[in-house]
Amino acid sequence: MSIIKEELNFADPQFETTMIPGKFQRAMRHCILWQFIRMVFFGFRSIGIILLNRRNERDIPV
Amino acid sequence: MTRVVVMGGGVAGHTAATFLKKWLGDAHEVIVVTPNSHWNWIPSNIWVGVGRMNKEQVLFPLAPIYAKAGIDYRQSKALSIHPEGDEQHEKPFITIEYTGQNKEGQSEELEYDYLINATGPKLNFGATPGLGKGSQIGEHTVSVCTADHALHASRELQEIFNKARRGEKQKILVGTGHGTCTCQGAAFEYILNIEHEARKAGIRDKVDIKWISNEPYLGDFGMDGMHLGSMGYVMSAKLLGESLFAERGIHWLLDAHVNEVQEGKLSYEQIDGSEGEEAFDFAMLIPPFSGVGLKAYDKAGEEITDKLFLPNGFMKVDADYSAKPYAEWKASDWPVTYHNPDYGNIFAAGIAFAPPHPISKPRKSPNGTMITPMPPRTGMPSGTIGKAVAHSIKNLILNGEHGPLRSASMAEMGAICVASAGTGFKAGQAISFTVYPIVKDFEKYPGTGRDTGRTYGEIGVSGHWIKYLLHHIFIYKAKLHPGWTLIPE
Repeated sequence: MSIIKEELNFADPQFETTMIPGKFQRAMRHCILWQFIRMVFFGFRSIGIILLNRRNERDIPV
Repeated sequence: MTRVVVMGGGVAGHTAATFLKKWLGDAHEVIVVTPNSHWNWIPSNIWVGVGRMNKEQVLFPLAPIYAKAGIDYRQSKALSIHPEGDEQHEKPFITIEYTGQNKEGQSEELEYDYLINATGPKLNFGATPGLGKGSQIGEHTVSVCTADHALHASRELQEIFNKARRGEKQKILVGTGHGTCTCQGAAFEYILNIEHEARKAGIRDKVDIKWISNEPYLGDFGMDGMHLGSMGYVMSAKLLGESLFAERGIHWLLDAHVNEVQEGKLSYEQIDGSEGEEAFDFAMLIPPFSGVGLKAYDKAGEEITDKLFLPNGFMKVDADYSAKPYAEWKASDWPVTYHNPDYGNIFAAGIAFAPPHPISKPRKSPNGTMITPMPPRTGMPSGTIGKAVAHSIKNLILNGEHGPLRSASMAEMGAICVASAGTGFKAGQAISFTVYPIVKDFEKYPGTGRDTGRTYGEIGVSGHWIKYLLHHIFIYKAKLHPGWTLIPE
């Protein structure tokens, strides 16, 4: 079974308030070029978190 | 020569020991006490659990690494701490019992100047009847907490898939096995990977997959959820979690404390006091965690375990443990330097330190059953805390008793997480997200408790590439290959 069709998905009471990706979004999740760009973008975000952690470290006298 | 003893060789203990040895050199002694012969990159156990990696890919032997680093490695488990010494020992010491190195069962007393408790958790399967006994998993369910558990889970899963291939309808249950579990993220990754594998095998319609968890809503993860910036939107992790499950046809059962596990079924209680049963052919349930059960004794030999540890077995550090209602919880309750308030030469890092309280809102059923996810402190926070503790001890050794100590509060710390949703260079997917700070701080961020500019997530095959890269990068770092200190925790 591939990804559940939207009408079946939202007919299920537990799923009716969720969101699911459409055809374009599903394709972009596996588009090598786009995903490489996203990986670089996430890499920069990650470096930002690491630098922020380092900035927040401080020495506390005993 | 000062001696630092590190109890535990996981992410926190290994990080602390290796940095200490690098900074202190041969002038001081670093001893690692761990019952394990191998280091395990636990995040990849998920892939062992679905048969996409073998056990050897997530493990490597510790002895040659510690021999290379000049660290004294004792394959043994710590049994007790004597922070004041005793009649025979002027110095504080711990007792250990060997589990390897051809000394199995032998005991030893190991004096220390500084002690780091980084034992990690006891996998407390025994807390739920039928889930296991003590720290041993039972026969009705599987786990991915260790590489051996994951290998067993993979074999059991293949049996289920084989039955599905023969046309037999199968029911798979994944989640938490107790009302106070943490580590929902591991179970979340595992259920998505199982679904991915079932779809790839063409048997998805023969396999009913369901999530059972102690979380109040999907995406809580023991962190009280989060609000993620994503492609121009800010959305709750609840919406993300539910959408990921809906997209994959996975149903969920939340607010559940598993009462008992039997062959092929479990019973549970929910937050409203209602009870139910769930049948399964295959179940992976994360056990609750507790401390490893270390005892402590004073100079006279009187037990002082409650002075060093909370009743759950985790070590007391510089946190505010006073009982307060949820509305009064603050980011400043969380520990900053992880030293024990009574014994300044004892530190705890990683899962071994006692959090002041959960991050998620505490909830009890009308029967008094606690159904609250406990806070996660694995992975990046474990490594960061381990390094900060090593920094503090280095300062104490080199500068004298005034330190200073290095801070690493989880309320001022961000984390990078990658949750796998399936493997494959082109077909794989993972949710990559950053969270800042890990512990919500409503004084700084009154809206969601976190910085929504820095709390971010998205799904795609790039997440899988990142997780796969991290697998190799962190094993490279843990093996102390050239440049290992440049790789962040």
